Amino acid sequence: MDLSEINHLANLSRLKLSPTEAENYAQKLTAIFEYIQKINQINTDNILPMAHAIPLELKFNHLREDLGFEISQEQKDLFLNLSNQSEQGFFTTPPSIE
Amino acid sequence: MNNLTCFTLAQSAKLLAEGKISSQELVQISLNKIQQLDSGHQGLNSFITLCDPADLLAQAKLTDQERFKNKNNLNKNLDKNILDLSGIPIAQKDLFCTQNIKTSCGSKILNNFISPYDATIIKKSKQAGLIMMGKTNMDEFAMGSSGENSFYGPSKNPWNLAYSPGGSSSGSASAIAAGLVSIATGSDTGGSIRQPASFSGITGIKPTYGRVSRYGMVAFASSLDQAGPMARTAEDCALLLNILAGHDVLDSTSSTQPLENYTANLNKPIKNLKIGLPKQFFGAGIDPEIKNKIQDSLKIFESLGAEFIEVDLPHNDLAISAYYLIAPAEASSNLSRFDGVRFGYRCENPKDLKDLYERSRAEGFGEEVKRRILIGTYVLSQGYFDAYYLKAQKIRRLISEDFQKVFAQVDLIMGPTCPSTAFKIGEKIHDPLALYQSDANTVAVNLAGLPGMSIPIGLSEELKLPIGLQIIGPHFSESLLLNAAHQFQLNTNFHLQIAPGFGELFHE
Repeated sequence: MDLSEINHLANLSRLKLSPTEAENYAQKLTAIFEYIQKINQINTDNILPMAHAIPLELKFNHLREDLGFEISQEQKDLFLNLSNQSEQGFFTTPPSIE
Repeated sequence: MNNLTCFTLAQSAKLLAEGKISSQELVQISLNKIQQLDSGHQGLNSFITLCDPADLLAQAKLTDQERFKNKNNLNKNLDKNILDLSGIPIAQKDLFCTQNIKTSCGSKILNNFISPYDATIIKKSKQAGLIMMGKTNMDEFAMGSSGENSFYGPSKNPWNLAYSPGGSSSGSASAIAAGLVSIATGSDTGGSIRQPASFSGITGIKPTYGRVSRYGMVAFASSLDQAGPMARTAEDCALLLNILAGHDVLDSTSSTQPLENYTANLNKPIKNLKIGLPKQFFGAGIDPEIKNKIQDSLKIFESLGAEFIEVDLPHNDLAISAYYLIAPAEASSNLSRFDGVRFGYRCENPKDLKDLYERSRAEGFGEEVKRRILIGTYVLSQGYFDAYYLKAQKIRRLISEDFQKVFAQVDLIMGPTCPSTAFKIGEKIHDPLALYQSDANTVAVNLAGLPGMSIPIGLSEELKLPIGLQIIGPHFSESLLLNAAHQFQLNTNFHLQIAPGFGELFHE
C-alpha cells in the first residue's frame, strides 16, 4: 500500500491526513493486507456471496407503506439544536466551492 | 452487608420482593461504589457519563413507592412467573442512544452529542423499571479489543489495574467485575461482549443476529452488530435478555422469530447434550494453560452427562481475514454520517464544504477508526471490490456452512473464548494486527449470525487473570446456551468471584 493509494483513499473517505499520518497508515495497511492475502489460498469460484447474516427464512421482510410523515416543530427544533450552526430551520455549512 | 457488597440481578430482585432492601439503598450502594472506585488515578474509568445522583434516587424512590402500593393491593393479579426487576441499577454501553443524555460512542466526534431519542433497548430497560446509572466506556465506535481506543482513556481490569478488561464493551465488563452494577448492556460485532467477559471474569451473551433490536444502536457493521446482556451469571443474562429481546418494527433487520422466556429452561438437566470441540479453537495459538483449564471445565459438563466429540471448522483460519474486510467495509459506509454538519464535532473555520468534512472527521475520529475507514473504502473501491469484499462474502458463506454441518452432529460448540488472558494496557496498541488476532475464536460467530456466550471458568496460575469458555449454538438457541452455562455455574463458583479488593458477593 503506497502513499498515493492512501491519499486517494483519504480523499474518498473525506479524511484529512498529515504526511506522517499517511505514512503510518500506509505501513499498517500494508501489513494488514499482507495477512489478508490468506483469502487467496482458497478457490471460491462456485460459492455464492453471503450478504445476509442469517438465512432468509429466519428473517421477515419488513416492508411498510411508502408514506411520509410530518414531524412536529418541537422535534425539528430538537434536531436543529444538535448543531450550533443553523438558520431558519436549516443547518448551515460553508459553500461547497470557494 | 458492608459498603462493598455486591449483588446479582436475581439477588437484588429477591431482596426487593422480600422487602429486605429498597431500591434507594441499591442505587445508593451502586453510587457509593462508583464514586469510590471508578474515578481518579486508581479508578476503573468504566463510566463515561454518570447520571445525576439526585435524579437516580428520585427514580428509585418512585419504584419503592410503587412496589409498596402493589404489595398492599390485594386485588392486583401479579404474575408470579415474571420477576419484577424494577428499581435495579443497570449500566448502558455508550453506544446506545439515550434521550437527553450524552451518547459518545467513546469518540471525540460525539463528545458533544446529546441524543434526542432512546434506543429501543434503552426504552425496554426503562419500561422494565431498570435504573440507568450511566453510560459505560468503550473502544471508539466499538472498534477495538482493549478499551484503549476510547477518547476517554481505557477502562481498567479490576483483576489487575495495569491490564485491559477487553473491548469494545470494556466499561460494562469492568463495572460488573468490580461489582459497581450487577448488569450492563454490551454490543458484539466481532467478539466485543464475549472477549471482555472472558478477560474480566464475567458472563456475557451475544444473541443471534436479529434477536435484539439495533434501533438507536450506533451502527458499526450492520450485518454483524448485536446488543446483548453482560452480568455475573447466566441466570442474570437470561433475565436481562428477556427484557432486551424481541422484534422491533423500527429495525428492519430484527427477527420475528417467536420470543421465549429465557429463564424457563435454565434448570433443565443437560444429560446427553452433545458438545462439539472444534480442533481449530484449540490450535497452536492458544496458551497451553488456557487449554488445560478449559479441559478441566469441560469435565464438569461431562459429569453432568454431556458428551464431547471433536469437530471441524475448516475455514476458521480465514475468519479474521474475512471479518477485517467485511466489518471495515460496512463501517466506512456507516461512519460517513459523521460529517460535522448536523450533529457532533465540527472543525473550526472550515474554508469550504470539503474542508468541513475532511477536518471534522480527521480531528474527531481516533486512529483505529480512521484506519478501518481507510481499509473499508479500499475494499469497496473500484478495482478491488471483487478481490476483497466479494471474496470475503464468499468466505463468509463457507464459514457459515461449516457451522451448519457441525450443528447437524452436535447441540453446542465449546472452546476457549480467547487465545490468552488479558494483556497489559499499552502492550498491543502499536500492533493492530496482533490485536486483531485476539478475536480468532470469536469473529466466525458474528459472520455466521450465531448466538455465542462466554462464561468464567477459572484464573491463570501466575497472574490470577480470568479465563473464559465460549459456548456457541445454532440460530435462536439462546435458551440452550444459557441452560448449559447455568448448569455449569450451579456446580462451580468462578462466576461468584469478585476481583480482589472490590468486595464480596452478598450471601444470606
